[in-house]
Amino acid sequence: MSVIIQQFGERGILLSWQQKIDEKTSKKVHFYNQRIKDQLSDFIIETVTTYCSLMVLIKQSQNYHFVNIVKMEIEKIVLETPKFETIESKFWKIPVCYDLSLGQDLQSLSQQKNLTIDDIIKLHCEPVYTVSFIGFLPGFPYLQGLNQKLITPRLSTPRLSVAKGSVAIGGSQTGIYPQQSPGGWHIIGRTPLEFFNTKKSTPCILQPMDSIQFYPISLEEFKDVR
Amino acid sequence: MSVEILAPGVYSTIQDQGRFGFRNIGVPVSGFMDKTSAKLANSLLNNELDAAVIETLGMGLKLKFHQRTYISICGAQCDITINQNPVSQNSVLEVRQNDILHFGKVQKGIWCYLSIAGGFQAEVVLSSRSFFQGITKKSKLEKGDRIKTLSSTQPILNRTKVKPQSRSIDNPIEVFKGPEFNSLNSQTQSYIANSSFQVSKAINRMAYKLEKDHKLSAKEIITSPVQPGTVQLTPSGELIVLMQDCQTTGGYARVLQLTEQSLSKLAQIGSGESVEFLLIEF
Repeated sequence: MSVIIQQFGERGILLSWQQKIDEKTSKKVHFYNQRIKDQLSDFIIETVTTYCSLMVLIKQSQNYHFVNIVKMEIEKIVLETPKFETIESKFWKIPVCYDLSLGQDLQSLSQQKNLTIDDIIKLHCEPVYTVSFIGFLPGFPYLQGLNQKLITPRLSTPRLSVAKGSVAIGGSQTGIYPQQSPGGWHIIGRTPLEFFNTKKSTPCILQPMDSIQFYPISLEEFKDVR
Repeated sequence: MSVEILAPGVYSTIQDQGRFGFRNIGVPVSGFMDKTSAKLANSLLNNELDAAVIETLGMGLKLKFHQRTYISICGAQCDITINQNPVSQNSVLEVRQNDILHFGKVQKGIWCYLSIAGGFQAEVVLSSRSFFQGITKKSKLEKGDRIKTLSSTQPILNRTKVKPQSRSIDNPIEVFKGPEFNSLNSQTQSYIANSSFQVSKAINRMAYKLEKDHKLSAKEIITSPVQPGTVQLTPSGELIVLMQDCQTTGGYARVLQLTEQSLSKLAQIGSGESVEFLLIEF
């Protein structure tokens, strides 16, 4: 079992698998995340998953050895279930308006990449992306699966304000800004849907490991949905 | 029942224990920067230790009470007055309707805590009252804000003046090894454990950056979980101590992890002062 399990601060246990970004590793992380949450729910506050790591945060206890006991339980869970299964996830079709008025960086990206704007839209809508994890900002999904032709280094100077719903490319990833915020990714369009709302019982619609695909809509359709 | 902000000072927010259970959707923990002082302020008033307080940075916060109540002020040492009369910190103070509390010059430390009987009743969002941009309606207190409070019917007879924890700089900051500590070469490991580092000007609720040290460097890692108290080392030799509002993930090597107590201690160390890390075992 190629996983390192170590204590991370007073109340953290960190599980690190082989350090690489691929689907198999991500699936493994999420399988064990689910197992640990199901079996040790009384002892843990929350977990954080990324590409190949899982951090488990343990509740406070008077017992000095408590974290160690939970760590041993985690080791047992990982050892007892050496084979992982793919956990069920959702598939979302997300409308994006790639109008130049909303995708401020489409034009510059088209010149930089020597692709037409239609090519960019086609390449961006083709793949089925996987939500690797939610981070950077509340509700911001890091999406894996961007076409190589669209990989673009981030802006050298981030924008102070990116509109809510903006769909953007940063490095080898694409993502959606769930709320207005600063940002250094190339904005290529905007979705009229709301993905993050603290008033909802599920504040964040997209969950790690969900699959998503974008489809283009016109400016009129964008305004209608809103 | 409320307290009115007449002037917000440099940077004031409402904070409690923080927001737990939402880090996997990218929501930072937030919460008191100096837990020890905030809890001390609450304990003086017989509040829940995690009751919401006003956390203020630097001078200038001025507020008006709209009812008689009890307050306590702990954390950074500053010149505090009620109706322009100096009052002492680390004790219970009685305030009357229309009294004006003012935070003057900071003598020592960074974050100052104002607790009120029953705690400030700011809106609870995702199980916490702690301000955070994009989560709570406000990200900082502004002039004219009114914060709800509870009516305190019973006088607080706690006349003890507590002695806050001493914060001598000779006192090293206790740290555990971080996940990437052992992958550093041995010179770097011993250098981190045996040198003193200066706190830079870049300090806020997200992170405290230490002055760049060219003897240090670490390779970036694949974006992985981080938490308040994680010390990151950048390829260019910058040590960054993540604080309460830090993101949930990061791509720099996690070389150290502060204990919760040392994180409270570090929070009160200002730009230009130096820190030493003391490695301890689990």
